[in-house]
Amino acid sequence: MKELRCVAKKEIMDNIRNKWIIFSSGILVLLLLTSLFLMPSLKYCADFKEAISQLAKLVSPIVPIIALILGYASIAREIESGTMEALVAMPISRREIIAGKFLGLLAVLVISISISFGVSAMVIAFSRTMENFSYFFLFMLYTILLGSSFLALSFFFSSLLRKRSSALILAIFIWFFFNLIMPLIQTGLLLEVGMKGALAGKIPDWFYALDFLNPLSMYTSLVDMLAGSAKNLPSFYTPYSLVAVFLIWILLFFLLTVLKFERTDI
Amino acid sequence: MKAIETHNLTKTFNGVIIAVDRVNLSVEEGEIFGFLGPNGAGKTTTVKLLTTLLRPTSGTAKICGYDVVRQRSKVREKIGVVFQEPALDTELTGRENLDFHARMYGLSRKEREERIEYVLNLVDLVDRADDLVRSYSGGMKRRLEIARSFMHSPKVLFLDEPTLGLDARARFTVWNYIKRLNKEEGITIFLTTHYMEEADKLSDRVAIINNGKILVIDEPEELKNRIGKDVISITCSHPEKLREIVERTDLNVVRTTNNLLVVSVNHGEEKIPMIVEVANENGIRIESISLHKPNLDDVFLHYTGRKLGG
Ligand SMILES: Nc1ncnc2c1ncn2[C@@H]1O[C@H](COP(=O)(O)OP(=O)(O)O)[C@@H](O)[C@H]1O
Ligand SMILES: [Mg+2]
Repeated sequence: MKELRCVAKKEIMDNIRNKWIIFSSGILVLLLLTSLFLMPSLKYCADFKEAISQLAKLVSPIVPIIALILGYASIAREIESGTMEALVAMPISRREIIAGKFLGLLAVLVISISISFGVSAMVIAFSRTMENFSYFFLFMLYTILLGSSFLALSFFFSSLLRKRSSALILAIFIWFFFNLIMPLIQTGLLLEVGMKGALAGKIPDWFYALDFLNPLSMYTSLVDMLAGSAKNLPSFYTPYSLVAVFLIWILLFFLLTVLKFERTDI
Repeated sequence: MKAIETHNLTKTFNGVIIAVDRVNLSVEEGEIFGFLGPNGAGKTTTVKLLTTLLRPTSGTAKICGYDVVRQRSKVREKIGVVFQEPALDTELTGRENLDFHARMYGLSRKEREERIEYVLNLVDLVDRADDLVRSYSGGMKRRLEIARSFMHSPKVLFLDEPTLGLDARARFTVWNYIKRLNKEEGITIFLTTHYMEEADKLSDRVAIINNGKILVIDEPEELKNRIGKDVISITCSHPEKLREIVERTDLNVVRTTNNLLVVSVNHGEEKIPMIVEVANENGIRIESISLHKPNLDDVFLHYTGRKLGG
């Protein structure tokens, strides 16, 4: 346990200084603030809940990038540099190494998102009235879930590769896949198969189920529900089920990483 | 109790490559044990088996009485390792690298500080301890790795080609630290190398390994005595022809390659004139001729029919 904490702490220290993490967190703050102040659609949003829904569209491409930067080479890098050899020879199990690293990365992700959101919230609170901070807080928690799922995903892929360069290419692919390719596939499927239902004003249930395969879709839905703009949803599609699926995502890829790493020759 | 003991230790990769082939070893406490063999002999694989990084395909190994498969964490507490490939965090300072290591072994703050000073002193790195490892020379990195490997006072230290890639001076320095560690801390050292000089100078006993198999284990002097005879190396224009002629006499030809003929013989200095004479008679031009007492290279040659370095 002590060793696990030690690994986690080292992972935090290694990553908190990562200039790309600082840079992309800065971008996140900037986006949150400028859009809250400058974008007319947000400025005149009747209430804050509505604004959140707009903000989510800005946040959703950036947060996966932060998570991918954190995770994409975390294991491959140490195998490449040789430090993993030293680590696995220490009195710590491989499971603990993976858990320590993942918790460390998770902590950096949470810190980065919390600071970005916290700074934004403070600035907003000073300059305009925000009736409902709890919505903003939920919004932040959902964003952390989004980031964590991408972190778990990239962490797993990092365990499959031994080279940093190939890990980077894979990370870029993951981002494109969930941001662009997957939505295209989903829309294509809907047009092809579910046209009738869609025309009748009701989107078929299986289309919602497809969302479970894409953390970005789940995130958008969660935020829409928060903003109250989601309507006619199937009964299995609730904030609780979405949060549960998020947690399953994170746990699943974490466990896959453990399994893979225990079978890897270092 | 033996520091290291293996019984038919075997590791195959992908079911075809037999990297370590039924190795039987027994290393005493306090011993420096040299593991000498060419590239690809199976040295690193053996180290990884003994340090619990790899699981044996068959056979067993014990470190200080603990089984490397069933008592992995016990084994890991007893050992320190310097791997063949550098394994330092180059973005941290030397001291930070040592500190992380010490924390992982559960040393208290006070113990850590004392121990770090002590090991830094032992490898003469106190002055550079707070510089980033990135800025270290190859020799300094190696010394830091050695310092790190015995931070937690292990019983057995594994050094996988500790001087690989170092220049002569850095190599010499590292040798001194290894000897000092063994003497002052009484650590058992398992050292792999493909430099016969290194094995010869440092080890109490040497095992020669080739193609995963141990050929012979003994003290360096004993190994050389086993061959007994002097070694004459002759570079000439027609080594095969000279070989035929020489083989008719009482000389024992070890081998020929390219333009080199190696002969092993008693009282070598007396045989040189004869060789030169027969070569002249048969129109063979001798370019150089040398005589030396056998070294571990010759021992390796004797057992495998090829040279260690080549
Ligand atoms: N992970 C691996 N997969 C397949 N073959 C390997 C692996 N590691 C080592 N080998 C093979 O095992 C043999 C011994 O390698 P190694 O132990 O590294 O030798 P040495 O350290 O003596 O140079 C070589 O033929 C090498 O190619
Ligand atoms: Mg090797």
